[in-house]
Amino acid sequence: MQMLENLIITYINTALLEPEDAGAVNADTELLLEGFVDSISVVHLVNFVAQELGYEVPPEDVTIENFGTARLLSAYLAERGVQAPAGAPAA
Amino acid sequence: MSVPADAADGSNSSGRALAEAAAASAWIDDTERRSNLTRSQYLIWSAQQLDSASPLYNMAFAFRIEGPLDAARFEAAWRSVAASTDSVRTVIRETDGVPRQLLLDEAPELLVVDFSDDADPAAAGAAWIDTRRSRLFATDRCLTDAALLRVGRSLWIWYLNQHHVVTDAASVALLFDAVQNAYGSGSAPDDGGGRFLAYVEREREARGSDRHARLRGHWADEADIPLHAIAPYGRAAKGRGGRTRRVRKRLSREQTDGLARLSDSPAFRGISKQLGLANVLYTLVAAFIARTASAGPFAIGMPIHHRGRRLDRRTPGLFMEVLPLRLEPDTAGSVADLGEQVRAATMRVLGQAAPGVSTPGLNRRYQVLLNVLPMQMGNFAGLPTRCDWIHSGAGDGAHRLRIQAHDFDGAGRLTLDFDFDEQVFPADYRELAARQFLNLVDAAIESPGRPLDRLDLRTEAERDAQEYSFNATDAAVPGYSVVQGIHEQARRAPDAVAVACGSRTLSYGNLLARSGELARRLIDSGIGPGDFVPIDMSRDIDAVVALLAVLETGAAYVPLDPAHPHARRGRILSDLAASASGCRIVVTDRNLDLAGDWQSLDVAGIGRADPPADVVPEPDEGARGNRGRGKTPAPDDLAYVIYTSGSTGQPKGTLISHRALANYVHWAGQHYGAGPGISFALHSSLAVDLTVTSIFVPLVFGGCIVAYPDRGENDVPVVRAYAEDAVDVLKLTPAHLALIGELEGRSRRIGTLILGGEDLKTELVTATQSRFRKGCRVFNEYGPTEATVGCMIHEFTAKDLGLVSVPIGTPVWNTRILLRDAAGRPVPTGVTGEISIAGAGLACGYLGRPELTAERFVDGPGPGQGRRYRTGDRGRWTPDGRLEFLGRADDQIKIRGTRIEAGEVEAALLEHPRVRDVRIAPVSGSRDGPVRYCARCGIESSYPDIDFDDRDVCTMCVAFDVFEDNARRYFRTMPDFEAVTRRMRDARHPRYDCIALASGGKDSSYMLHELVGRGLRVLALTLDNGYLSDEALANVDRVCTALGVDSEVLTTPHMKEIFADSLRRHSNVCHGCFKTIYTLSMQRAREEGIGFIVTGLSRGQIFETRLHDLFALRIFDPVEIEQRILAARKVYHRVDDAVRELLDTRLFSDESVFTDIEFVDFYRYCDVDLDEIYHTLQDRLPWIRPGDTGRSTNCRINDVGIYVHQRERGFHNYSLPYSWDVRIGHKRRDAAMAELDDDLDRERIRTILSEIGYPEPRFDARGDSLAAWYSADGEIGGEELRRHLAERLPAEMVPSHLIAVDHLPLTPAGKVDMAALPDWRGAQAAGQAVEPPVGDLERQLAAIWEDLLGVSDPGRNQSFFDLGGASLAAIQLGARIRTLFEIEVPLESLFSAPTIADLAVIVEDLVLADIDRLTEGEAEDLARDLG
Repeated sequence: MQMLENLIITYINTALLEPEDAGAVNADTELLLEGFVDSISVVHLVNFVAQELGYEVPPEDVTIENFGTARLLSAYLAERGVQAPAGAPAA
Repeated sequence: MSVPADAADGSNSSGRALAEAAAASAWIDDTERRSNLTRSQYLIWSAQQLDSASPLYNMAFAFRIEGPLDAARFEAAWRSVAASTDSVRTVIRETDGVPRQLLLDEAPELLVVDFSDDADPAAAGAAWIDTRRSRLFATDRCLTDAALLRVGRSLWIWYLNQHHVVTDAASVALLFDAVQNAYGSGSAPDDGGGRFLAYVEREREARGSDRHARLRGHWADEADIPLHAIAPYGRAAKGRGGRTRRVRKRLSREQTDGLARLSDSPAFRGISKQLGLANVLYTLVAAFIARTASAGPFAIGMPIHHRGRRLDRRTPGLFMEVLPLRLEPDTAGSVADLGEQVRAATMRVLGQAAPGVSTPGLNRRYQVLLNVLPMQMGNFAGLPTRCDWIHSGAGDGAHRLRIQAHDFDGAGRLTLDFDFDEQVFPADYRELAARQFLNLVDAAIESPGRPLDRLDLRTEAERDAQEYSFNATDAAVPGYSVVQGIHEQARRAPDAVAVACGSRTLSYGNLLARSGELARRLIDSGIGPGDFVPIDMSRDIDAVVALLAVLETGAAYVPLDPAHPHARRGRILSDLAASASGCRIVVTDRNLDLAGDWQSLDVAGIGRADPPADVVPEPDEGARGNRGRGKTPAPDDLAYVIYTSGSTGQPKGTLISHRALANYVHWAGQHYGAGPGISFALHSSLAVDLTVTSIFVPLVFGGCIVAYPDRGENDVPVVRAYAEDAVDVLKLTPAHLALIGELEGRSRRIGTLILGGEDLKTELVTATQSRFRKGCRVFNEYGPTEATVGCMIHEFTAKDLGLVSVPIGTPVWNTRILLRDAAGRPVPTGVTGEISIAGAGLACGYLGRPELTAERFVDGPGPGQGRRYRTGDRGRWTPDGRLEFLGRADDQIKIRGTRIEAGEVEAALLEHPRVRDVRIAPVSGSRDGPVRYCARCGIESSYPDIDFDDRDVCTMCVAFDVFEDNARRYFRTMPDFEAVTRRMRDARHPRYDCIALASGGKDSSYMLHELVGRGLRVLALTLDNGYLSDEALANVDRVCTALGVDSEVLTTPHMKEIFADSLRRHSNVCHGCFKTIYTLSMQRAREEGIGFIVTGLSRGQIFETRLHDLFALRIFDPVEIEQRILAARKVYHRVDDAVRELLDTRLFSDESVFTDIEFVDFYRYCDVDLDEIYHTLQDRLPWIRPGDTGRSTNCRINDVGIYVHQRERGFHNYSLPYSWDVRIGHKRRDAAMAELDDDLDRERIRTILSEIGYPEPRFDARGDSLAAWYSADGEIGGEELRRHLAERLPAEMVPSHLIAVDHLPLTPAGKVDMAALPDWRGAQAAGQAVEPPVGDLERQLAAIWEDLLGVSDPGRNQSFFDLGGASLAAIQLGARIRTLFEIEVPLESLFSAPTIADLAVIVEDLVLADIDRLTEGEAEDLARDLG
């Protein structure tokens, strides 16, 4: 699950944040509450999960419980048997 | 269109071209590219240009601040915020039509106004704001308007208005905070916010990325998915609106909490509370639309805030962009089900949203927009503050409804602002809509799991009114049998006249004597209860005797119409024979040829001798045991069977009982004031139940029937009934009333008019009022045969004048009227449903048709809901509690009051051995019923494709209001004409400066006068088209002599053929004439080397012929207009018509002729009205108005064109240019309308038509008529087909238009695709077979043709121009081909190959030539793209 988490954090830091915020997010950063991510970028995160991790998150699961932090998201995915693809970067 | 991959070596000419095309599509047009606006800004900017006089983009807020506000400090705070905020100091300046935003150094000042000394400061402040909010911004100087109003000692209003191009709701909140902070801290705000202009640059740069291109591609695909337009309450306003009215509703705390709970529930939850609430609200809006406005998929406008970056969240300016949210609600599902669909849809949109992807095309996909605004303004510097978003009174004309949801003050109560388009939502519907939406809110909160179509959106009061009060019609009917009633009258006054015809009369006593004797004869022949006795008689005294006689036997009578064809009678008789085993006797008054074992019983001679007056015979009760029950039938015994058109070709018999008949007759007698001495006219077919009223009501009440038998083929009995003025009550159809309207005189006796049979237009009633005496009462009686003559009644009053149709009113005795949807459930107020009838008047069913009976006579959903008849008529409840009739929903047609089942006509056609397939539909060349006129320009409602709003203003006038400023840019002034004059003189022609087209009419004569007045040397050319008025020619001669101008008369021997061709193509003569004179004058100009031809086209004509189409395309730039006119002119002269064929048109093959010779429309420069023209002509010129030309001032064939156009197309061909003359102020409305009110000399017109060889149009397209499309084996002559039909159908059912097609096009569901049938006007003659396109390429071209020409299913060998394609459409055709196939088809080719088949060959050649230049891979891709 660590690799999953890292993968997610890396994506957020590089693809979703503004240049001035890049790298500011860690596993427990409150993505939505602290405004790093908004409703549009959440959808991009969902697309990322679908494309890179092969799991389609149903719309009813796109909630703050599951997407609130990177850790919460990776827990949600791990519960559903999603694994980081081989060759994903370690911590 | 997909972009093919680059070839490996990167050198790829076509690929690069396409990639460039894709990159180019990052911009809407060149102007956007050259500007420095974001996409959102550019769209707003462009829309504002189109509606330049509208404040629709003013975003004005008023913050009401209570308490000790320091005005000076506030001012300072404002100044510092303004100085440091880009969007406040931004203006937009246009150079060469390209808008660019720039930052001014100075900030807009805060206007400070003190109203506290006013008598009513609050009112003064409100009035100030009310005026200010609609003030247009001078966008090159200022886009922000800020003011601080003092409206009390401690009461202030901060007014902030910015043009939407630099702001959105979030931006306002940011400014509010910024000013508040600056006020509080006393210093300039810290620069935590970003620079708006920096965002603008970022947005524009991002367009170049691959990602952006991909998203644009996605939205381009999305834009191809077909949607339904939203028509709230069935109204689909044509044209652009723009005036909006706001209805504000504030939800209660409970409702707001309820919505919050809903947004947290599983179906709606989103990633944030805001998104959850937005999902809930989108769901409610979608549910509302599904229940009241639209079936099928539609889109709602969804604003995206685009403030993703934290920096952007702190930057004032316009970030917001709207994208369409596409939904397809299933009303069988619940609110929660819809919520899940909405949630998935909003996620999809968010996933594909990026700044700059919206386009005009995407914006056109939605007519309803929902804006959920989460921001809260709070208190200003701790002082109690209320925030009000002020409506500008205008909106985007394409939006029917905008809903804004907000709670700016954080009160815990959601406010909903409904901004309604006035044209689409009249006043009472606005309140209705808002109320129904709130009902939906409550229903959704309470039971989100309930199916949408079960939610009753009515209030309890509405339910009560519609279901109960309206239907409280219980009444006691005295007696069950009309026979009983008639006998009672006979007992009371046996000598009173019962029936009269001409000079013959029959008293009640004698009536019964004779009917009794006939009844005995019938009984002796075996007729009794349960039998059906057809009556085929002339509408005379004996017919009444016969009706009564049959009833007295206990049998039911079946009235037939002697005028109907033999075959039809045969069908009815065999239908009766199949269902009833009794005797077969037809009562008649002449020699009938009957088939089968039917016998006729001729009443002639029965009981003619008058019996002694004191003997009133009773029907012989004992004659045949318990037969002969006639005087007291059981209520459910049948009284009559009336046959109506059947959908399978077989007419069907409606069975009416004595109970139903008595209910109607007794109600009618009471309601219409029947009684002794009151006469009713019997003038129409006995076979239609309209006459039941005029027979039984007078007899049961002791009055008198006055009969008017048919006198021959061309006789119209109702006219005689009116003219003889011998009756008190006249029951008739609206078509009959219209006939009476054409007569002279005034009835003195008729006191009651009962209209029935079809929709009654108010205008018809008012137009015919003067035909009847003062105090004559007019009733509208609605009712199908299946509900016994009439089941709803309304008396016409002055209150009805505002309506188009006279209301159908309220139910009669013991009758309930219900409005239900297809599933049998009540519909919301304002929404269309089917009218059903329940109660005593219902028929028993259809004879011998149990399935049909079960289909139309149903039990209400739910037990004990009673039996009702589904009429198939559509209706709706208006907000003010009236049931409005909306017409038919199905194949049953009403033509001039006759009920026609399309199926019956189709069956008759199919009986022809060579006819394979057929489809019938009613067509109107114009609106049915009397014509209305625009309140402003006077144009008639029968003009195609226009609509009138509530104020009776036509869509063209409304649109003109919007683009008038732009339109006028095309027109110039006389000083501008000086420049033209100069150019003419600079050409230094030895003899003439210009040619002038002189017709001898007023416009060109005035023009000549002016040209000469400017010192020009003019050569006047006149076309003698063979019908030019002698007086007009004389005028030309006199005027030219007086002015010293050389004049020539041009002629051609081919004029008659040219006229006939012009009539064939355009239903007018002017087209051929104009084209001839243009052609001939250009030849003269070329010969003489003159470079200018001046025309005398009036401004109205200029609008009509040159500008109308361009304005419809929003093209207003004078330079572009001139270019397009020039291009159109080239096309015009190359159309393959009679002019091109018969005149020498070689000079047009060299395009330089169009630039060498310039056409100058004099009235483009000269703005003068009709009076001025006439004054000049009278005072200064020897011009005499010709007396021999009708409406035209010079031409005798003009009237022919008017006549033909009216009859073939249903409207006056001068309607459009005259309406323009009124619109631009050159004519007054009444003058224009008077001019259009032609008195045509039909004899003279017919003579000229035969001279030029054009057949007189057979039918008048102004009325409703029937069209039949059919496919056949080989050609069938029109006459043959008509004869075939006349043998089988009553005359009124024979279609006026017979159009042969190759095959009937089908929809995927297997039904005939009505939209794909060829225009009934296109193919006049039967036997014109159309060959459909072959192959993908031809089909693609055909699709373009359909789009441009508005003609369905063009044949592959039909000429583009024959199908109505004009110059402008030809240019568009070229452009479409260019876009679709990326090849340039020369204009020349479009003329040498104007058919789809030929054009396909040319396109293919060009494409193949292109492909030759590509590599193999590219070629494959391209071929694949082209299909």
